[in-house]
Amino acid sequence: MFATERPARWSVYALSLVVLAVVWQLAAIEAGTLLASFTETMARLAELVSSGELGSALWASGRIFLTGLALSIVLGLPLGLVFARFPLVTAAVETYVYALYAIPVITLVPFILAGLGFDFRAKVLVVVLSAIFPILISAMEGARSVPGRLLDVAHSYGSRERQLWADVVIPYTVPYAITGIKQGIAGALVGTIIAELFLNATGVGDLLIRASTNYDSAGALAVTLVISVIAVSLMGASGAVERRYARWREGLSG
Amino acid sequence: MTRSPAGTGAVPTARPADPGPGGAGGPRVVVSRAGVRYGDLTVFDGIDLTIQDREIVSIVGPSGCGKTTLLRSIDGLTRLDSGSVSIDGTVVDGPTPGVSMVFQHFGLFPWKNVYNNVAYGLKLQKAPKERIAQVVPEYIDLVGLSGFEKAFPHQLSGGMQQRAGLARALAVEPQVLLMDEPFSAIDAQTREILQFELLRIWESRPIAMLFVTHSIEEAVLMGDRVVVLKGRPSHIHEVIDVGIPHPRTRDTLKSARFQDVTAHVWDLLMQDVIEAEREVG
Amino acid sequence: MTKRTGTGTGTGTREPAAGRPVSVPAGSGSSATEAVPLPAEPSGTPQAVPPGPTRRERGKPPAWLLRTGTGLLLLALWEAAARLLGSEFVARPTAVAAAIPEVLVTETFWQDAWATVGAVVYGVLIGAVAGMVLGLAMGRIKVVRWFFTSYVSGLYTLPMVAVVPLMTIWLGYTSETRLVAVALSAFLPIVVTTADGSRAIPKEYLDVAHTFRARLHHIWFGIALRNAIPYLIAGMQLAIARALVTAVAVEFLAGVPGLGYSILQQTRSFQQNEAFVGVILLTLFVVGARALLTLARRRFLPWYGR
Repeated sequence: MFATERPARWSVYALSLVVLAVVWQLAAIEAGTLLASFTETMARLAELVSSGELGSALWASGRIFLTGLALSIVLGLPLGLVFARFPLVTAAVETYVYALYAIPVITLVPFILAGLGFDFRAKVLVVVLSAIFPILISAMEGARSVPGRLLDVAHSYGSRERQLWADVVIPYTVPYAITGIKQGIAGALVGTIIAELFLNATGVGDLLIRASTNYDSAGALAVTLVISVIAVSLMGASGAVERRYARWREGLSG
Repeated sequence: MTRSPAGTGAVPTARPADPGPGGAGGPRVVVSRAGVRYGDLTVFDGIDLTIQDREIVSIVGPSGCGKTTLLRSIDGLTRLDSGSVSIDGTVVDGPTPGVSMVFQHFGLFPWKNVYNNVAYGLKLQKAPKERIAQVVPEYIDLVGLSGFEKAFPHQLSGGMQQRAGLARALAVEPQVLLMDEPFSAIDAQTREILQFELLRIWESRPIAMLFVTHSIEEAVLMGDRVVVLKGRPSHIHEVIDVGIPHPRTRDTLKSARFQDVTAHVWDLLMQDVIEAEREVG
Repeated sequence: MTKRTGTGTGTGTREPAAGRPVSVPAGSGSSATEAVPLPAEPSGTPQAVPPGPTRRERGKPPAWLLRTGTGLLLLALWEAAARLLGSEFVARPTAVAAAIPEVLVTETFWQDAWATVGAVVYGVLIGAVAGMVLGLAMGRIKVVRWFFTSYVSGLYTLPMVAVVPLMTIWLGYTSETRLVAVALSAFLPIVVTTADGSRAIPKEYLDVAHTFRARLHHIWFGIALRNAIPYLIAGMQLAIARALVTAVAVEFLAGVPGLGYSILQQTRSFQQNEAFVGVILLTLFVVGARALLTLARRRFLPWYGR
């Protein structure tokens, strides 16, 4: 990327924002109540913030998100390592890990609703089911793809299995685990929204459903926008962490 | 040289190897009737080889002849299907302390810096901290990496990475050093520099060294003896006494003896290639 | 697509055996050679396995046996848990298995299934075509990339389920909402992957193209698009999974008829076993569609590797 490109790039970014604002505003005039304009949406957002509605909704959903994600990490990483490092276990469970990962979690929501109800636990379960598999599978693939030459070095110096884990397997798996956690965060976001919309509406789900049934497009847009900003920041942050670890991972191929 | 027919070459039972006198000047490594199979493919068979203390033995052969596999079985990384390897009279059954290996692709841990990579073997041996702190810088200095202790492998060139690999192998002060095509992943100029540096290091502290390589010139330059592996399954075709005294320098490359030995090894290996081509065509 | 098998099939395929990789994987199929009795291990060997790794595996139970055993164990655990803990309406393996034949002959099941799966298929096709166009443009034209990048990545990151309530405001509680939502869910991953693929062209390809004075359309469709196809396939695999979630979400939220909605209705009316057949079908659809794409990639893009 040439340095001279930068002003051009930034002016295109600015232009794209202006175009969006203009198109949005014009479309809003055309669409009437169906589509709130940019200014109306911002006004509604300010209202949601000042009334504290948005804050408490984010807190309620955030708790579900964080609990589910933390559980997925705490369970997923060790399970992935164990599944990968013991060939017998790998052969036994691998198929089922991928099979369970393939089930669209949203289709299980009615069963969870019927079995567990719609309390905090049930919602956390939906988040865990959405987040744990990418984490587990990445850890599994990381631990399994430890290059033979690194294992050779360890064996050559007489390393035992326990030291091998500490010196080779776990450090090697770290970048994979981070990639998995990043995907897990994406999964947990989807899971949280699903749980908040379909296991009785609370938190941001409640805000969205109420806006939708009241034809409050400004409210729906405002909340969606906030979710989008949160999602982008979370993925951006985890992507940055991921890239930090990508460097030596690339260096390995040499 | 008798060529054993493929598949049936396995020696029925492992014969205990001669322990040999051992100790300085005696045989360090004794390989006896060694054979390895992968499924129905016999890689090599009936290999007998003795490496004396303070001796460098080079192994050359066409790709796939099992040079690396032989080296790995001496290091205890690969199990022999027949025969045995013993180091100082003890039969190898898994990695042995006192034997170090330098790997073709360096095998440095990408998450450890140079210092910690070099210290790895000592740490596994549970060497006391003071000793690690004393020995590691010494060997980093010996291979010319002073100032790069904190660097990570991905920040180093291939040549520098292999210097670190060499320091790691030497830091445990082995009696036997196994070199698995150590310079094959390094560009030609750096490679030449490292060859002479390795010779200089060896000359300052000579130990038994087994040097596997693809390059005939490298085999002759490094080795006191050159072992030529050939055939399917491969076996020792010829062992050549190089007969060039140490220290060896760049002038060695120009000597008539070097040229002669190189040409001889070249002929031995080319025969094989020509035969193979004839078979295919 | 041109086949790349033109040269080298007649001659030179036989390599000297010395060049063969020596690490022949154990097991898997070659029974004739496995049958050759191996010479007995020296009986005096003190311990079983050295700490060092050997590539060969000895005395291991076969993988299929382990797999089947684990599968049965999981099903048994589920059955036991359902019997002990749940009410009699909770789905359990034996009852689900019993429900399968009944459900499969029901006409409404297939109508519902087609409503959902069809929407996903159409939606993904629409999303793929539109996404490919925008993705290719974003990959090759900087200005286009700069213009759309924040919106595309923002929407790509946003869980589409969160947009469903908004869509019901705009499009009502209809199956068209489902189609639009599905198409949008599919569109975004495809834009992102196609843009990545058409951008990440090895520089040498472009140099070669320029040396031979390739025209713009050669570079776009001959190199960029072709380079992007494996990425596009990966994008479609992601798109199918995401699209199905969106389709079911619309059905839940808007009551649009389909398999998702019927799963919801059946679990509410104590027919969990019947409902679970729907879950199985939708899972099989996603797995099958992705496997088909992988198969197509291997068949038509052998140069892409695995």
